Amino acid sequence: MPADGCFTPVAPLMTMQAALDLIDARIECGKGSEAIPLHDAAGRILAEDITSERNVPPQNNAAVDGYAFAHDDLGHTALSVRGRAAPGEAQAMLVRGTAMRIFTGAVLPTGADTVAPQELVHLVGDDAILPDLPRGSNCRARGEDIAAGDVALRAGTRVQPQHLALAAALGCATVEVRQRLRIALLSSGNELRSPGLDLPPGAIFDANRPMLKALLHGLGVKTTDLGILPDEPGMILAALEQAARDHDAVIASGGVSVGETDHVRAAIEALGELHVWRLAIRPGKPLALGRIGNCTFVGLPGNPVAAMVCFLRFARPLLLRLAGSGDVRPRLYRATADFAHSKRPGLREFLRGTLTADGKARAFPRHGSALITSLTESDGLIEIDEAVSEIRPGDPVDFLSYAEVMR
Amino acid sequence: MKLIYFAWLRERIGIAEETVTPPASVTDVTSLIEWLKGRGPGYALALAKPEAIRVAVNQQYRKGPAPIAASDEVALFPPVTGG
Repeated sequence: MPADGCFTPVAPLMTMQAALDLIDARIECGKGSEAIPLHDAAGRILAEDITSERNVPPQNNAAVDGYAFAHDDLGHTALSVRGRAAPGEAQAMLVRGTAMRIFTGAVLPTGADTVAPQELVHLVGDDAILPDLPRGSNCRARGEDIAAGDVALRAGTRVQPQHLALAAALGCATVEVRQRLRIALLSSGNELRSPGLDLPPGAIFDANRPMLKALLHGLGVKTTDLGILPDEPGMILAALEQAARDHDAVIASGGVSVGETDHVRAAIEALGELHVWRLAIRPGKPLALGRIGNCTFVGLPGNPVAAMVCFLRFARPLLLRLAGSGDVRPRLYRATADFAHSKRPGLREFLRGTLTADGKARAFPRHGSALITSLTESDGLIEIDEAVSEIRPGDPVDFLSYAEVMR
Repeated sequence: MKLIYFAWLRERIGIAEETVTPPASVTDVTSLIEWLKGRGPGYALALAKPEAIRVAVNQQYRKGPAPIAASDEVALFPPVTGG
C-alpha cells in the first residue's frame, strides 16, 4: 500500500531514472495471495518462492535411445545385450560385462554409468559393438535440473509457460499467487467519442482506451472499462469515488494533467491527492499520479503516442510493483543508429523505430508525437539518452522492443 | 561389399567404413583379410594378427572359412579396445 504523499515529486523536472527510482521506492504490493491450480497460473505472479521437495530428474536416466553399460567394461568392444529398460519401469540391474537395451528417459540400471546412442552401436547377433565414449555420456544425472531443497522459482515471478513446466516437474498441483489487480480504465475529454458514434465537428474518436485496455490485458489484471467520463463534475466525482472503492488503481488518459478546468483533476484532489510529475522525456512530459484512499491514480497524456510511452515506461512498472512482480524494468537492447537526429539535451527522447536482424535501429521518418501511425509502423522505442544532443548514423542507441513490455 | 571397421582397426586403417570390390580370389573371410592387408601400410598394421580380429558378416559372427559375397556387409573389430 502506498504511503501518504507517496507521489510527491522529488524535483520540478524529473528524469526517467529518478521517476522510476521513486516508483520503486514508494510503491509496494498490497495484494493478498490465493492458491490456484497450476493449470490456471499462466500470467499470474508468484506470491511465494517455490522450493523443490524432490530431485528433477528423480533418478539417473538415459538421454538417448541406445545401450547402457558400465564404462569399466569398455575394454571389450562388444558386450552381449541382456535386458531392456524403458521409461516408467522400475530400476533394472545390469549384469556386469553386458549391455542393456535402454530407451530415452528410462532409469539407468544399477551398475551402468554410460549410454551409447543406438546409431553409434553395431549389432552382431546378440552383441553390441560399442563406440569409445567418455564415462557418463548420454546420461542425465539425478537432480541435475533442480536438486531437492533448491529454490526453483522466486516470489514475484510472472508465470510464463516455462515456469509452469518446472512447477509441474516438481509436482506442484497448486501455486500461491497474488490476487489480480483490479484496474478501472477511463478516458476524459469533451472532444472524445467512442468509435461507432457520430463524430461532430471538433470531435475525435477515443483511440487510447482500446490500446490501454489491451496493454492492461497483457499485464494480467482485471480491467473495468468506465468509458469516457461525462463532462459533469458531480458525475465524475461519484464515478471516481466508486471506482476507487472497488479497484486498486484507476488509469485515465486525456486532459487530467494539464487542463485548468479539468473536472477529473478537481475530483481527485477533492477525494484524495494528485501530483503532476513533469518528466524530462519527450513525448509525454506530464504524468499525473495520485491516490484516492488505497486506490492509485495514474493520469496518462491524451496524445496516444505519449500515452503509450508513459504507460510502457511508467504505468507498467508501477502496476507490476502494485501487483507483486519482482521484474518490472524492461530490458533494452543496444543497437546501432541507422539514422541522424538532433534533440534537446536534458530530455530523454523516445523515437518509434524498428530493429533489424543485424542490430540496426531505424527511426520512423516523421517525429510528430501525435502520429499513431508511428506506433503501428514500429516495433519498439528508440530511447535517446538525456545527455545526447546529436545522433549520427553508427552511434549506439537503446532499443526497447514492444515485445518486452506488451506482456 | 561394404566394410565397417571399429575401435583401433578404424584408427589404424583411418576410415570408419568403405565399399570395395575384391577380386574373384576373395571367397571367404580369411582371403578377404589377406587381400585387405595388401591395400596399404595402415591395413597391414591393423590386420597383422588376424586371430585378434572378430568378423561379422551381415550382423552374424563368422570365422575364417565362412564364405562371403559381393552384396555382404562385413564388420571387422577387435574384441578388446587395447591393441
